[in-house]
Amino acid sequence: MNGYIELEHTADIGLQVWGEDLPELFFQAAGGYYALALVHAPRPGQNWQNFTLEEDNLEDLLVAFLGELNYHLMVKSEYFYPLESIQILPIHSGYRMNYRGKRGLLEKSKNQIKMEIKAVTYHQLEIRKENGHYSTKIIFDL
Amino acid sequence: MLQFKEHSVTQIHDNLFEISATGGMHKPARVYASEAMFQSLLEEKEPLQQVINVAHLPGIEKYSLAMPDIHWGYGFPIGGVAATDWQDGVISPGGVGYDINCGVRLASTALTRENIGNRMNSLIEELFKTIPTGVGSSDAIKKLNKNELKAVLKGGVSWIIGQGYGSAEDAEYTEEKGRMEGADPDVISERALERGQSQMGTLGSGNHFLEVDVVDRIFDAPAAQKLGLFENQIVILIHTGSRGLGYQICDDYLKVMGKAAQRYHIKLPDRQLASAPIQSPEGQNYFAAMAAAANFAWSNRQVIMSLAKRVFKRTLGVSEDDLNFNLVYDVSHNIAKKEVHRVDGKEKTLCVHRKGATRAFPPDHPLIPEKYRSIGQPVLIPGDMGRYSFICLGTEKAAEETFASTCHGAGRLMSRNQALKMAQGRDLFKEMSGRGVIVRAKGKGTLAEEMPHAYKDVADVVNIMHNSGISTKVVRLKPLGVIKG
Repeated sequence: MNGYIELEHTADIGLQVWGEDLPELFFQAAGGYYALALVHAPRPGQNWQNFTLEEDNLEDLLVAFLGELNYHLMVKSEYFYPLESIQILPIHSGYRMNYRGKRGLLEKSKNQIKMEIKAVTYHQLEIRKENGHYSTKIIFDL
Repeated sequence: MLQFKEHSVTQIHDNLFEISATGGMHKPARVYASEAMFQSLLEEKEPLQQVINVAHLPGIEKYSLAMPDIHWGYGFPIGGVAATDWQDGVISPGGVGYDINCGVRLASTALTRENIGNRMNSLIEELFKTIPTGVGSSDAIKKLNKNELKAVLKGGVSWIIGQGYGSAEDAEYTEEKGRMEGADPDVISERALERGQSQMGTLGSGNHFLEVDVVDRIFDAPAAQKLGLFENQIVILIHTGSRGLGYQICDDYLKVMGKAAQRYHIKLPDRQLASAPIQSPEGQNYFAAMAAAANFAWSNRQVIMSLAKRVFKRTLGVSEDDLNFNLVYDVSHNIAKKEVHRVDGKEKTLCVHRKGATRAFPPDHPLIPEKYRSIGQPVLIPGDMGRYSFICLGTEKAAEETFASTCHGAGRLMSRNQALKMAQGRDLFKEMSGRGVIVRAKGKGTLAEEMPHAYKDVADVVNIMHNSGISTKVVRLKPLGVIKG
């Protein structure tokens, strides 16, 4: 099962995300993040950009990945859509993630951001593998 | 005897409950709440579990505390207070939150409601045009270059006043005189600096606001007089913090502290409580970065107040003397402070984490401005935009029981989605106007998410602390106009 749903939270907001493998889980988490943050789904961007992230464990990697998307969207008004070629590889010190995304720019005058997401939190964050599928819950600070 | 999971719960008095220390808890937990509120917390579970989790912090003194506006946060609950030993304890970014030095500022004028007359619409419109609101709002004033930003991060309110935003005595009426010692811009990431450069003087989004209020009820006339407040008076209430700079610092240091907690073998029940010994390099760096963000936030509220004053003069055509615009006080409600408190009869230097809690020093405390020293520190507690806010005072009992801390606001009752659903098909601007409140908001859905029905009644929260003798009511403010993100 691949996908995400929005979770109710009194003060903030969250996502429940599923993926048949880790790249799909991260891809769905990005889709869920953009659905929360933007008024409309992003149009495909113009130019591909490559990214690499390294963290000690998968949860830190997911927070770092969504944190990067959030920084670029909230500070630079940039989004990366579509995202593809997501690779998550175990390395000596943890995990490395490679991915690429097409960079697009929001038009500030059009108020395209639905809600300001301050940060991706570690609250109750745990990536689980059950019956061959991955799932996680992510809470965002608003 | 009440029970919460494996913990026994004792009711100390009508509005105070104590949860016993078991397992890895170093101290008991205490929650200020009415019986009905505490019953809801027992059912909700998560906020109480967070108060208990905080009691696991190494070096915690006396109690892990929760104020009656407690709700589910990250690591610490919102409304949480914890003091750790300055020498042997830890510091936790989760005990401060993402919006470092989010806080409230109250400014008074000599105007009455009648002086504004039918010009409230144009006043709110001009405030909305002048003070940037909303997601990523920027450019209220000229973008600060890196050197200017570093100067404000070190110098706080006095530096920004020197640039023409306010008068020298405003610093006196700001908590910590608007400048925390030990701030160091060199331990802040480039990303955090970049985010701060263009956001000075901006409100941001969510529950941040600028309100034009009227003093509609006085509970303590001599204290109100001391604060320069009188019935029917027009005042301004500002609620915002350190904006993207603070969020980025918290984010950066949560990563640092996650690794530090492992290095120092600090075992905690929640990753968001990640901590380091205060005296470790990681602890010292976080404190220096947090202090810099705190200085940014006080300066941010100073600039917003200064811009608002200019709008009042311009829009209403009043002179400086006739307006008589004064900062009453500015408080922080997301911060960690080095403070001296009595523990077991002895004075101790502590790191007091207040996350969604307000400092409430008692009368005669040396860190209160001289003008207010006989009555106690002013405490500013905003409510929702349709009902009211309260100005209270800190007490000796707060110093004894809560490390001189009290509540900070109403607390949300509904999730944003629930509030949006409740608002469907309704003309909320008209409804607010019907309540006598003119609202301007930038974001789609902001008004619906922030409607009064989405929040608890702040009077219930304030009364618990008043009846417990922790902070006492002085005046109530009613909103007449609001600008939001």
